[in-house]
Amino acid sequence: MPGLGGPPPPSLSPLLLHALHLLAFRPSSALDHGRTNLVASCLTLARKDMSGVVVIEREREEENMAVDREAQFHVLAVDDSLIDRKLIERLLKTSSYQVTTVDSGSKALELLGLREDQDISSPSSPDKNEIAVNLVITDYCMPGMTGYDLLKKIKGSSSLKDVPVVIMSSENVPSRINRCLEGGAEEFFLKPIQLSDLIRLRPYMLKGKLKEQQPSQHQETNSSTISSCSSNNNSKSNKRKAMDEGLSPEKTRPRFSSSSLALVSYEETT
Amino acid sequence: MELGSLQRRYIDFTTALFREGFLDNQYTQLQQLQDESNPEFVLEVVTLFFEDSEKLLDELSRTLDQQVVDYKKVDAHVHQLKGSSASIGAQRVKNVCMAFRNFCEERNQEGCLRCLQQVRQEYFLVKSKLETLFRLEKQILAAGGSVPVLW
Repeated sequence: MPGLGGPPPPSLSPLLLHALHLLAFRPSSALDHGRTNLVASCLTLARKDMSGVVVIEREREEENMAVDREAQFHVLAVDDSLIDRKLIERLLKTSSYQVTTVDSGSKALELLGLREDQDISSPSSPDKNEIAVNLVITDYCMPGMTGYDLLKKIKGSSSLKDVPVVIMSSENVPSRINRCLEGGAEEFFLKPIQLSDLIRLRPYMLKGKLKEQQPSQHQETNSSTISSCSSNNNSKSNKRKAMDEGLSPEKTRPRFSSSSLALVSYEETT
Repeated sequence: MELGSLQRRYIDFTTALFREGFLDNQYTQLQQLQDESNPEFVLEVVTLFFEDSEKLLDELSRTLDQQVVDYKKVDAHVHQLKGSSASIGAQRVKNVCMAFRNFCEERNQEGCLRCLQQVRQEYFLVKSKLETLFRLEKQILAAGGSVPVLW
């Protein structure tokens, strides 16, 4: 690895740096110490390689932070465990997301404007309690409606099918994981969830926003680069988790649809 | 006790807790989530854990005491206890729960009862350790100092 003062490696482009800055500093609060080691080490690496340039950019970015009023992403978290709800709420808020928590799949559907027995949300007179979300994160094991059931309901709804859904579970069951991913879940997280896991959520929410807006080439490149940087380390740590419990990493590596995001993220092999 | 020795005691105590496996990295994660805007976060979550666990332990005693044991119910309770202990980093409690679930699967009443005893023991141990930890933190803050950050 080139040290300080050496020529910047050709691979480390300004685009990656910009992506890392977006990831690290937007949106965030001055008190946000929850930014992960991952991003910090990426930036440190970048800093070492690019010498003065990064430091200056970073400082400018920090100045803009207070003024920056980028719209917050709203996450709906579903978990029947009070402790886990409290945890996920704190994790999400630390990551600067707006959070709503509910304790069941049926409550989640209600909030999303979808009744259990409906496949489409009521078009006329929307319930005043309905909310718009950029992502749903749900526990798998819940009494009544499981996380998988909730996933299917969301994906089966014409109005909600594009909402990204992430499933969490304390149990590492490959068949369960595959079933969820095949059912349309973007990711499957093993509990307990950590801050570093939440970095992986951003691309899905960005992707959702992009669908609403004009697709920007620049932004899309950023998302895929962000994804590759964060997924690299995180997929390794998830692999480690899976391996600790005696399962082959291949079985637990999340698979995606044919989006370019997926190809960039999981190109790497051990 | 003067601040310096309180802080030293805190450091020694915490280090031992991790070394002896009472707490794992997840507890550190909780501490990292606590800040000026949420200064009592760890205490709040751990208190929820205490309440939840004691309820579960009572339920487990009751369920295992039946003439015909409903192992599905036992398993559900243990699953919940395993989850919450994992969420706060109470490693030893979590580990006993894992063994406990195996006995549930085997419908082994004796094994289950042994595990219940063990999990109860580990729970009360970690509870007392955590209460000591919180007490030390309070004492440090009362003495005008700050709680050492060990991560």
